[in-house]
Amino acid sequence: MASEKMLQLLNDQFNRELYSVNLYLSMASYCLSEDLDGFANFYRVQAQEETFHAMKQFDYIHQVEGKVTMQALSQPPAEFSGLTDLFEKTIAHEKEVSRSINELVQQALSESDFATHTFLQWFITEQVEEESTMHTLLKKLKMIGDNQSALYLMNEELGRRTFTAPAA
Amino acid sequence: MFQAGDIVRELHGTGSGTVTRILPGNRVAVLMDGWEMDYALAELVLVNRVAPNKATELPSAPESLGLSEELCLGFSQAPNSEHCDLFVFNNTANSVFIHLLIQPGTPDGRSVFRDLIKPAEKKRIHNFLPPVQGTGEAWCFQVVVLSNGKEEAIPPFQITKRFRPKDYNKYNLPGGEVLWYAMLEPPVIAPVSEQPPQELVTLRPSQVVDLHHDQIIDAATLAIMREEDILRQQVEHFKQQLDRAVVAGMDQITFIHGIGNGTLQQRILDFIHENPYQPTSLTAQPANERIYGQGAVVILIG
Ligand SMILES: [Fe+2]
Repeated sequence: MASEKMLQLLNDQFNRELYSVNLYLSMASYCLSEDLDGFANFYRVQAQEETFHAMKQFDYIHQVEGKVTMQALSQPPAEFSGLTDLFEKTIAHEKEVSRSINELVQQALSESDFATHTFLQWFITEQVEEESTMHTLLKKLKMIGDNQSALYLMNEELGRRTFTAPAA
Repeated sequence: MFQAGDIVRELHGTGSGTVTRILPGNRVAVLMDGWEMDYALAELVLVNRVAPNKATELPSAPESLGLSEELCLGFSQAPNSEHCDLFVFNNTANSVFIHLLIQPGTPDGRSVFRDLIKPAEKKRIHNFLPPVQGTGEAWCFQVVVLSNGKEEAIPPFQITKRFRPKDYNKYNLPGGEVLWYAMLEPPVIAPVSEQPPQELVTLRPSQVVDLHHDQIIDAATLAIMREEDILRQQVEHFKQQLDRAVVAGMDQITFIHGIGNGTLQQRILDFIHENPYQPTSLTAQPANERIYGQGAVVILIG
């Protein structure tokens, strides 16, 4: 059993993950419209990961005898001024997600809700990974600069990413 | 100076990886998060050099837990083993002297580890610690900072911290082993500044706080934030600033909340009404209309 407050925060987080799905689909669509199908694939897989996050939380909320309330979703941005802008916004978003996960962890600790605390550990590790992946890609993009053939290779590489449901 | 197989990390960043080959012009290629990237030698720091025949002998600790400024202690227990491995990671800019005690003050209290750990270094001492999970064991660490990244001696700085199992985070190592790690607050060394400290001025609570979202959230973050998260952050900022004002003994503080749909204003008024600071009284009044229009509130702190 988790507390009312904890369940509410988990429910907010669940809805935030769904927003992430939409945000990344919006980004995927932008990439497609710019003929960058590899980047589009990357964001599409990213959206699948976010769905996985949301469902993991959905399941947990029910495990601790809570119930999910779907919230109205804000509209994610649809226009971006280029790939750098895209990745900068992705990083800003992932940081925001990390911040809210940390808030949940803090709440779990302050309530001595160790079950939820343990549940959240997975997300902490996941956020560290997400942020570092995005940073690496942004760095790579900046290195590429105006080099079209390097961009072509990066696009090819990102096109090979596939979604595999993480273990545990 | 580097060779293929070396574990390196960025001098000014958080990335780390493995050197794959040496490139002409004092550059090296590094495999980082699955990408091969090109670095100048000067941009990298050597973290570890694995002898080729020893590389597969022991399960190795992660080079970094992915946190930029970290001083952490980790324990890992192989399946079916009674013993734990102890790891110390120092990704801070300072050399630290770590002294680890088990249950100080009891007959069991003993030093198990004393060593100097340089920046970007990880140490592994294996096979003599009891399992940390589930034993309720408390560990006491003393950390003495000896020098900063430039190898200048600095006055000893000591922190002592006791860790309990709930303080540990979990990190899955390859091969099914699990690393439990706990963060030590990296000792903060104040940068030597030649300018007179100005903090005193900026740390004083402001008399007027602008809660407009573009004043408290950077543009990139704002562009992707959900409306409800923006509001949440505005309310948080309001609470923080009010808290500072109350703690500092100010008698009033003005918040500019803007007009909008009135949600933020309502959240402020609700909070004032609840007033967690009782018996200190909080009274909301409309702010000077000629300056702020309808978009601000003065809170009198009594
Ligand atoms: Fe997520």
